Amino acid sequence: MLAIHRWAGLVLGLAMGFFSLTGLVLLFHHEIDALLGQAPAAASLEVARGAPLADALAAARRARPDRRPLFLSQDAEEHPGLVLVGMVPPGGRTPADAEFVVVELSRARVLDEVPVGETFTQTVLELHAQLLAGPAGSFVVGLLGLALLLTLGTGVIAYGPTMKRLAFGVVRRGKHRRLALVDLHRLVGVVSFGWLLVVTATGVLLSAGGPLLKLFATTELAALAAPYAGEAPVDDVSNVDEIVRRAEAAVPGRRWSILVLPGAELSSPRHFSALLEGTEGLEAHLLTFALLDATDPDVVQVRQLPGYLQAVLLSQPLHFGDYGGWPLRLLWALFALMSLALAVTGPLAFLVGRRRRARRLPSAEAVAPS
Amino acid sequence: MSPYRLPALLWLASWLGLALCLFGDGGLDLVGAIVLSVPLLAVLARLRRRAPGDE
Repeated sequence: MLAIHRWAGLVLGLAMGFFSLTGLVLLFHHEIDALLGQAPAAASLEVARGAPLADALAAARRARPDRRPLFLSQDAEEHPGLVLVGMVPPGGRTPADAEFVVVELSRARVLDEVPVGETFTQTVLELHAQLLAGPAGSFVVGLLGLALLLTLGTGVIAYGPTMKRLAFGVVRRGKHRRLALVDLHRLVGVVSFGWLLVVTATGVLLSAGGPLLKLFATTELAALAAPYAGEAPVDDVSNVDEIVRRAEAAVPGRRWSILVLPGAELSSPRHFSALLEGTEGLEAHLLTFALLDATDPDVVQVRQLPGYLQAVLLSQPLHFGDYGGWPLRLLWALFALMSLALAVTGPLAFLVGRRRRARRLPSAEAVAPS
Repeated sequence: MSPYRLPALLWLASWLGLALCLFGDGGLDLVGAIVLSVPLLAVLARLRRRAPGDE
């Protein structure tokens, strides 16, 4: 088991260091965006309340006349008063086809100065989640995550037999360097295992988020939309504010987070899809799905998202540690530094031991009788 | 004593801390953060202690 852990760790040490470093940057993405002047100015939620979404859509259409809006999303906590509009070319049906426009709700003004999708931290996120290679990159990241889980498991199994005669967490600094590195690797590894297991497993789940969303769109949602499959998508979405009101009324205590317009992969040619979030605690991380008839907003179908999508949604805060304010982010940063230390001490201990053995070998040959 | 006894307690602290932070509100999340910091404090405490035989 130790041999498997050693070789898997040598191969994956670089990946672990890479994910730890990029994850560390992403923990502070709000601060970094603000420092680089790439964060949209957060308006007041009170000012924006009641501002028509239809005006925001019209502003987005004026800014990108060659495209049509596919979805809207808002982040009432982080960016109150701002709406992100995904604009797609004719025939575009998925967010992958979209260009993004940020609209200030209260003034229905497109914020051209906000480089959506082109900020430094957005690039780091794409590097962390997709290795800048799109869905294929997500797949590779998922495989790396699975391999890292294997490395963590073998490390824990190998820990017991090697620590039988040693006190917990002992670091023997007085002996040679390799021993101190191995002890440090064992201590940091075994202590951070609980956190590492959660963060790696949720990372694997998140890497599967795209295909799982597609699975939902092509199974449950496709079944709901089947009667309207041949219709042309409803183009007049001027009743978008009425749609949002009906959706929020259908699920009391929740507010809209994402609204998908008719004609998208995640809606039907005749329906809006609304994803509604709670306001506190666990509810804030779980979304409820509502399908609303664009031609008759009275017809609302509310559905719970399937378990596999709820698991992906729950993975996000657990992976990024962005759900408990500053104390939690600080802890996340310290754990990320510990996993970086693991990625360094493991291979380093191996290299130091190898060099030591290589140095010992020629001297042994020198004293051997010819 | 099994070499896994103390680590298992620290793993439980990690998972309990994460769960309290995720599911809790109104102060429970702060308790979660404190519980989650226990493994980190354990590393600091061990690093401050010298191994037998070290100078």
